[in-house]
Amino acid sequence: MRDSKEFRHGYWRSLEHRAMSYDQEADGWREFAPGADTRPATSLSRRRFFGAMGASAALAGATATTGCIRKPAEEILPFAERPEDMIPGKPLFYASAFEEGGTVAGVLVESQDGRPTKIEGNPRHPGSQGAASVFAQASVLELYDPDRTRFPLQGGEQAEVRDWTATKDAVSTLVEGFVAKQGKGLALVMRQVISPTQRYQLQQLRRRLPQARVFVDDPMMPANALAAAELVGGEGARSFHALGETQTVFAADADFLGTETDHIRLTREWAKTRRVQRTTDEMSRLYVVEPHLTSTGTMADHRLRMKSGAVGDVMLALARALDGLGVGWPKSGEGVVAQLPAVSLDEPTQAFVSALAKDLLATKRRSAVVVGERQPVWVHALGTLINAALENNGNGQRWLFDRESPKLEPVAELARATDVEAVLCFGTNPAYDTPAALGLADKLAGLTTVHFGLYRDQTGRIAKWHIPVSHWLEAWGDVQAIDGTVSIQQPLIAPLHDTWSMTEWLGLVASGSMLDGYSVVKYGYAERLGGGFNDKTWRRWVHDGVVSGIPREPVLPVLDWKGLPEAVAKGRRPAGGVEVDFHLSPKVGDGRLGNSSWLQELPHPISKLTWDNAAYVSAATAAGLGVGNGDLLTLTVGGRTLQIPAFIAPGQADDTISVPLGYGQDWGSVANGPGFNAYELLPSGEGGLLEWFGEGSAAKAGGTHLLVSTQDYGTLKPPVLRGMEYPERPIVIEATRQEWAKEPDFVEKANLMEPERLHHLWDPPKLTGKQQWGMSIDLNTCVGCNACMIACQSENNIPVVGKAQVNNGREMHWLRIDRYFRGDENNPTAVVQPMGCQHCEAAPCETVCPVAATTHSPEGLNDMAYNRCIGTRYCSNNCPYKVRRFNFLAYNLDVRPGKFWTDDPDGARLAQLQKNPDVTVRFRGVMEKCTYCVQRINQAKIEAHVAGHDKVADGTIVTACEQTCPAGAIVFGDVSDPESAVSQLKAQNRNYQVLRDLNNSPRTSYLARIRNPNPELV
Amino acid sequence: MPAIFPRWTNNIPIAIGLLAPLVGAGLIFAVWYWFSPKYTDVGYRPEQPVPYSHKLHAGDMGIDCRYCHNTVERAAHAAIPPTATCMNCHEQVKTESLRLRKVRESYQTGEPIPWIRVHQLPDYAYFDHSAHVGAGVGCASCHGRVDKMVVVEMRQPLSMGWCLDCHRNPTPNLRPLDQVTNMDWTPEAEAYDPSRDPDRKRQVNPPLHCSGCHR
Repeated sequence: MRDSKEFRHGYWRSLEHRAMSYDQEADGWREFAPGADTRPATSLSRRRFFGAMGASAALAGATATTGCIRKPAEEILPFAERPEDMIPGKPLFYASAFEEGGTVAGVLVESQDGRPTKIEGNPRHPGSQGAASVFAQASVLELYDPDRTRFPLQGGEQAEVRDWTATKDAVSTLVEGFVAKQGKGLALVMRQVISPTQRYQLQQLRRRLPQARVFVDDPMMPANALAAAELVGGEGARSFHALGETQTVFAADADFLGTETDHIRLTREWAKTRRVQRTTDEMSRLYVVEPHLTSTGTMADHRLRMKSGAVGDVMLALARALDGLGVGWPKSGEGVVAQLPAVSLDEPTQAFVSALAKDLLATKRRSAVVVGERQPVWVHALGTLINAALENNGNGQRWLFDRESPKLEPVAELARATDVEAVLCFGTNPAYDTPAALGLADKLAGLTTVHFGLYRDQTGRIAKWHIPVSHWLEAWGDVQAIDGTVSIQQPLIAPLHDTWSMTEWLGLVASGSMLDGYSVVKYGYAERLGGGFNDKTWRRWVHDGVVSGIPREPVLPVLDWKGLPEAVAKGRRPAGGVEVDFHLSPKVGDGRLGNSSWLQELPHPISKLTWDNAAYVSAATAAGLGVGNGDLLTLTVGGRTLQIPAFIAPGQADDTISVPLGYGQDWGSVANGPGFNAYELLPSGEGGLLEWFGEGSAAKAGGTHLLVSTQDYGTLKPPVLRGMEYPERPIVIEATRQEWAKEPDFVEKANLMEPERLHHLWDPPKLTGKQQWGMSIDLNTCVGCNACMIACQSENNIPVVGKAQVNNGREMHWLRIDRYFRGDENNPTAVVQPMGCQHCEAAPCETVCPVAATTHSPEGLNDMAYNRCIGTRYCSNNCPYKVRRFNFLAYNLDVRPGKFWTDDPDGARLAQLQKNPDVTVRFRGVMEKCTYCVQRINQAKIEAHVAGHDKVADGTIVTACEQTCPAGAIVFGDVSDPESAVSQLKAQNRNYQVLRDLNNSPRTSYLARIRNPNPELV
Repeated sequence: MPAIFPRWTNNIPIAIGLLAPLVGAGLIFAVWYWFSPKYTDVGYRPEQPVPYSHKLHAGDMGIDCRYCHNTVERAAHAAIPPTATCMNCHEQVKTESLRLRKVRESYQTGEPIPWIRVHQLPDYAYFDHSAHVGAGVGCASCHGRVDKMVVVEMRQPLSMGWCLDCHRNPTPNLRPLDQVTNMDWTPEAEAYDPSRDPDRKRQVNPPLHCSGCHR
C-alpha cells in the first residue's frame, strides 16, 4: 500500500464522527445509525397480524376462485377533440417563470397529458440561464398539495364555506365601501411587487382609492439592498451584481450562492469563473466573512467567521485599506472615507483585509464586493462605494432605474397605523412572517382582514375571509427580474380548485371589475406599449418565456455617497455580547414553502438537518452554555424569548447563535410541526426594515428535542479510530492551485493502490453497447445548493418518508449531497460532494443479488428491475457508496408523511397527479437508486433510432440533476466518444473516481476541488 | 378396547403417497397452464361501448391503421383516436345510425368514449410503439389480423418471455418499413432480409437488458 500520508487530510462529517473512537460493542465502528434495524413502532398485535393474514389469504382465494386472474379492466378515455400538438404520452414543455424573493427563474414546465409534473430551467432566460433553484423545483408539489384551501371561508377560526359568487360580491362590496372615502381606512399587504401587471394595477388603485395604503411584507425581498441603492442613487435606483467576468469576489455576509436574491444567476456566473481545465487557467478568488457557514462559505478560498455586527467594521477597514493603497474614489464619494469612523481589527482580520484590498485593487474592473441582505443599509451603501472605486460599475456591480415600482410602506407601519379598518393580504402572511413584537397577528384579528393565499395559514385563520387563489402554474401573470428581464407566466392547468388568481383579485380591488387573468396581463401590455404590441409579439413572449423587443433606455442613476457618513453614524452599533442571527432557511425560505414535504425532508446544505431548524452554535459557545445537539436553549432578544434546540455547527462564529426563519408553523399537515418560530425574536428595525441580527442572550433551558441530521448516515468512510490508523480513502480530493501546479497528477497520488495491483475477482460484465454512459461532477463548481436533489425527486417519483423514518436512516433520496469538514473543529474548511449511484462497471451490488434484480446493461448502466427485487438488501449492504435506498414501507402511498392515502382519498388523487408517468412508482419492499434518468436515455435513444441513427448525439440526453444545476457542475454523456463533453472533462488531470482502489470502475467520476488561496495569506 | 379407526384407514398413507405427487404435478400443470398469459390474456375480447368493427373499417374498406392511430410513429402510445376522427366521416355517412349514438354524444358534449383497453401491459413495462414501427415490426405481428376482427381481441400473450423471443431474434418479425401496416404481408411469401434493405438506415438491435423496458 502506498504511503499517502501527505494526502491524509482528515475529513470528517460531524464532530461526533471526528471524535469517534473504537466501539467495543460494534467491534470497530457503527456503519449504520443506531436504530436503523429496529422495526417501526406499530400497534399490530399478534392477533391482528393473524387476522390480517387470514383475510388476505381469503381474498387471494376469492380472486382465484372467481377466476379474475386477469388484470382489472382499464378504460382508455381519448379526447373528443385532441388539442393540436398534443400526443398522448408525450410531454410538452411550456415556458413560464417562477419567482421567490425577487429571484426570478425562467422555467420550462413539463406537462404530461395536461398535468405539470416537473420544472426545468429555461435556457433563454437571462436570470436562470437554463437552471432552476430548489424552490422552483419544489413548487410543482405545492400545486397538488392536498392542504391547499379548496373553498372560500368566512368567519375567522370557525369559518364557514361560501360560494364563489358570494365571495366575489363580498370583496367587491367591502372595497366599494371605501371608494367614497377615497380609500381611507383600506390597506393592502403585498409581497414585493415585481409583476409589471400588478404594478400597473396598483397605479389603477391609486386613482380609484388614492388614500388606500399599500404595505409590503416580504422577508425574502432584498429590502436593505434596495434601500441602500436608493440612498446612493436616488429614488428608483436599483443595483445588482454580475459575476461572469470577475476575478475577485468578496462576500460580506452574502450567501449569494444560496439564499440571496438572484442566487441562480449569480451561481451560474460565478461557477463560470471557477471552471478550470489546465493548471494555468484563470480562476476567480472568493473571500467570505460570515457568522455561520453557508453554501458560499464552503466555496470560499478565504473565510473568516465573525459576528454579523462585525462585518460592517471589516467593510470600513476595507475602505480605509483601499484608501491607503491610493484607490481612486468616485467624485461624489471623495473625502467620504475620511469621514467614516476608524476601526481596529484583530491581527488575522487585519491581515485578511489588507490582502483582500490589494487583491481587489489588482483586479479592479473585474472584482465585486457583494454585501448580504442581512447587513444594514449603510454596509450596502459602503459596498457600492467600494465597487465604484474599484471601477466595477457596469461590470461586477450594475445599476438601473426602476421607474414603475410603486413606493410601498413597510408592514411595520401597519402595526402602528390607527386609521386602517380593512386589510387585504395578497399572498402574504403577516400574522406569521413579521417580527412577533409588532403584534400584527392581534391587530389583524381585530380588523376586517381578507386573506388571499394558497393555504389557510396563520393570517388565513384569523381573517374574516380566507380566499384561496390560483397557484402560479394555474394562472396568467408576469414577473420582472432584478436586471429588468420580464417574463410572462402562463397557466399549465385550469385551476384545480376553481380559484381566481392573485392578479384577478387585485384587478377587482383596483378597478372594480374582475377580468380574466389572460386579458388583464395581455391587454395591460397592449395598453402600455400601444403600437409596439401585436398578437405575434405576445405569442413569441409567451413561447420564449421572455419579453423581448421593448427598447429600454439605459438610464443610469447618478450616484452620490454624501449621505453615507451620516448613515454609518446612525446605523453602526458595536458588536458586543452574544449575537442572535436570523437568516432565511435555504430549505423553506421565509416559511412560505414550509408545507412542502420535499423541502422539509431535504437535508440542510450545511447542517444536513431534516424536518427542523435549530439554533446553530459553535462548539466553544455550546461548551460555554453546557449544551449539546438537541438540548433546548432559551434565547432572549429584546425581552422576548424562544426555546429552540441547539445544534453544534462547525464554522460558526463564537458567541453567535444563528437561527433560520420559516419554521415553527401551526397549520398544514407538513408545516405544522417542524422547527421553531424565530419570528418570535426577530427585531424590527429602523424604517420598518428587518434587523437580521441583534444582541441577545442564551441559556440552557433543560429538555431536549430530537434533531435528525443525515450527516452521519451512509458514510463512505470509517472514522480514523485511535489505535486503528489507516490512510485516508480517496473520497473528496482537493488541492490548492499552487499544489496543483506543482503536482498536476495529485489525484492519482491520493489513491491507495497502484493501478497494477488492482485485479477483478471475476470477469466484469461485457459492455457491448454502442454508447457508454457516464457522468462527471465538478467539485470545483458544485456549491451544494440541493437543487439537483429536488429535481431528482420530482423526476423520479421519490417519496418522502417523514422525520421518524429519516431518523432510522431510511430517507429515499437517490442523490444526496455529502458535506465533509476538514481541519480545525471550530473553523474547518468544507467540501460538498453530490453522491448518487456511481454505475460501477464491476458493480459490487450486482454480484450479491440472489435474484438478478440488479444487473448491468451493455451501455454501462447499473439496472434495477423493481419487479424482480425481493428485498434482501444485500446490494445495499455491499454498496461502498451507500447510495441504494430501500422502501421499508409503502412510502409512495403516503400522501403526506404519517397520513395514509385512505385517510384522504381526494388528497391522494391530487398527489398522484405530480407523478412522472415515465418512471415506475415503487412499492414497499424494493430497492431503488439513481438510474442516470434511464427514462430520458431511452426516450432519446428511441427518437434517434426512429430517425435512423445508431447513436444519440452528445448533449441530447440531459439528466434531471444536470438540467437544473445552477453551477453546471454535472455533465452526462457518452464516455466511449472521446469528443463528448463528458469525455473531455474526464480527460482532465483533476478527474478521479471515488474509492478507485476498490476497482469498481465507477462511471461517475469527479473533478477534484481546487482552492485558490491568496499566497499572501497562506 | 375397540379400535377408534377402522382397518381401511391403514391404507391412507399409501394413498397419500401415491396421490400427492399426482396432486403436485396437477398443481404445477394448473399454474403453468391456467396462470399463463397464453391462457388468461390470449383471446381477451371485452365488449366495447361502441360496436366498432375493425373488419369493416380496416379490412373491407381498407383504411390504413395510421389514419386513426396516428401517433403510432411518433409516440409510445398508438393513441385511440379522438371522437373527432370518427366524425370526419360520420358527419357524412351513417349520420342517423343508432350504433353511433355514443360517438355523436361524445362529439357534442366533449365527454370521451370510455373504450376498454384490450392490450394491457403492466405499469412497470414501458413499451414504445414508435420504436417498433420504426424498426419495421408489423402491426399484425403483435395484434394479429385486426382487419379480420369484428371485435378486437388479444392474439398474443404479450408476456415477457414472448417479447424476449423476438428481441433475441427479431429478423423473422421484421418487414420493409413501408409494409408495417400492411395486414396481408407475410414473411413466407416475401423473402425479406432486413440487412440488405437499402431503405433501412440502421439495423435493429433490440435491448435485452432490464432497463430496455423497465425503468
